[in-house]
Amino acid sequence: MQDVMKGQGPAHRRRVMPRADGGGGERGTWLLLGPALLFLTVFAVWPFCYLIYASFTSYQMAIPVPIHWVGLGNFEALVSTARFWHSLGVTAAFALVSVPLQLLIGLGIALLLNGISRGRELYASLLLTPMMLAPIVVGFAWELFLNPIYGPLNALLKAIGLSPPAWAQSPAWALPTLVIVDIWQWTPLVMVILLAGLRSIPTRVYEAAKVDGSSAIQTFLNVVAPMLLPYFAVAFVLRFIDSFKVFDIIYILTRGGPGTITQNLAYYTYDLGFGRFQFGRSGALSIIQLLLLTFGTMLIIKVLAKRNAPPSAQTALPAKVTERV
Amino acid sequence: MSALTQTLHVPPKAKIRTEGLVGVVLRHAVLIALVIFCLAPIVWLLITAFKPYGELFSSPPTLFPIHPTLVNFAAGWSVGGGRGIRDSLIVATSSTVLCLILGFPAAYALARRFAAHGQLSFTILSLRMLPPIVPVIGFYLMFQKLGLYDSYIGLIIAYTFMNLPLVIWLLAEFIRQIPRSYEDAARIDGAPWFRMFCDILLPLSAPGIMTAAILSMMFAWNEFLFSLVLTGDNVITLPKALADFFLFQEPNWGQLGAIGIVAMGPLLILCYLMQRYLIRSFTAELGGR
Repeated sequence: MQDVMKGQGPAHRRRVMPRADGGGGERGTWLLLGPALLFLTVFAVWPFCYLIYASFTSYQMAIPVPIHWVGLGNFEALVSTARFWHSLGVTAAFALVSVPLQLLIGLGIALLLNGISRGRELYASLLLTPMMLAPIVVGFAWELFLNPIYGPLNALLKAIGLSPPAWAQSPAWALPTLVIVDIWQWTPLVMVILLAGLRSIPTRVYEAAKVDGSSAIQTFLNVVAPMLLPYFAVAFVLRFIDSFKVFDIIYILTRGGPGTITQNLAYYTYDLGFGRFQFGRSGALSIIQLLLLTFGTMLIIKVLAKRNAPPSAQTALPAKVTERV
Repeated sequence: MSALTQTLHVPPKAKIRTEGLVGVVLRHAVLIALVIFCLAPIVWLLITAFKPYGELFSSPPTLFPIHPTLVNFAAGWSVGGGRGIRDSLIVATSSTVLCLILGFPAAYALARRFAAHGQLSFTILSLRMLPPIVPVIGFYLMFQKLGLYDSYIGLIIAYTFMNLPLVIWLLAEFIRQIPRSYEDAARIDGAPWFRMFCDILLPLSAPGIMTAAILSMMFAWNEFLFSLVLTGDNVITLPKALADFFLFQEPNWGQLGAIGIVAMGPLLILCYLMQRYLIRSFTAELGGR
């Protein structure tokens, strides 16, 4: 509502050229924009107020004790537990191990696809399949695929004489398994973005490099890589942001276990809030995630922007469209 | 195309033929291996959907069902798959329609009438980057207060909140590419705004609306965390039905596979059909800036 109101002020003053922008002037603009902004504002601000309120109080749903203000108590309690640091480490495994691997493998596949002349579109279509699937379906498809007793992969590995692990059910392999599934599902997104980048480089650029006598590796490092960097930045930022969202595959494949080994911040937050109804702690934890994500993203954009190829927020955003396309 | 091949290998001229051939074969071999890796778990699920119960747990597993059956599809439908598909359809369709109704005017305003659209688009779109676990706690507490917990309306609101920023941004980008002169011509001819909207704007932006609708449908269809937290026994979307079915009883893989295939099949086909268009528009988008 506030936004609609705000818009009406200047509308009177700028009436000088009312139809230059399509009739209706600014009043019309805010009428068009109003409903959507109102909806987004209400449903962003209202729940966020609850979240802030909860995170500074002893909000617990199951226990009928009066709610009282605890200040930063929830935050302090969280950072003093080993479980918090462990789940932070699990989130970091997705953000700092899985995502770079996706970028590397995605780059490799994009270069491969760029280098063939036939069937590129068919390969790309087929390779994109994983990211179009619901993460829940991905979760139990892999659960079945990796099942130690009646799954096909271990049967195959045993047939060729290996002794495969129990994957998601073994403490040592649970997290790597989740990382593999994450890479499997989201490398295609990186591939599409980087392939788009490679396709946008004109042939004459390569020709010029060749004429100048640069070797294949030199061409890649000095010519292709700088031109690809904005696309790389887009992929990196998108995947970094999404790495904080990993939840569904954990819920299906390990339920955070064995024990709490594979709980990331998102799962821990869910467990605190909806497993134990400690909304204070849970709210505080989700605010911590929000801060980590914001600063992490800003850092990535800043570092990559310094390299002379500005992946500004505006360039970074379009790619969101093809998320799971 | 093969430009990169050439530059990456720069073979001496005499060797080009043989090395080129080996290179091509090698590339295709690697790509085929990757495709197999990408499809294997899904194809395995598909095969499993046709296996009778007795074959599900045989060790080592049978590659193809010895006695293929369709019984899993019927059973899967009645144990919750049908319910899940119905509820998911209700929620995904309603939220998509709501997104388009709210989003189209806003997108038009952003594209045509707003000088600082970049700033505002960014603010709107940044809402989408929130990890869903952050808004979901607030939504849960709010819905408990408003009596919207475990209701269709509640989940529709949540999904509309999730998808509206993307829909607005996507449509605004699309409308910006439509030449303004069409609208100006209509205005000079004295056409009222709704005629301009119905006769010019709507047909011209139909592909954009389709893309936005498909993406919004797909995200709502696949979404899990919101429906896990914000609903109980009254509304059971497909991902939640699948998760419940998977976790709270001995997994019947045949039925799970059958529900999964029915749930994902139409969406996958739609995506394959639209893919060329979606990727192209996205490529132009990135390249055009």
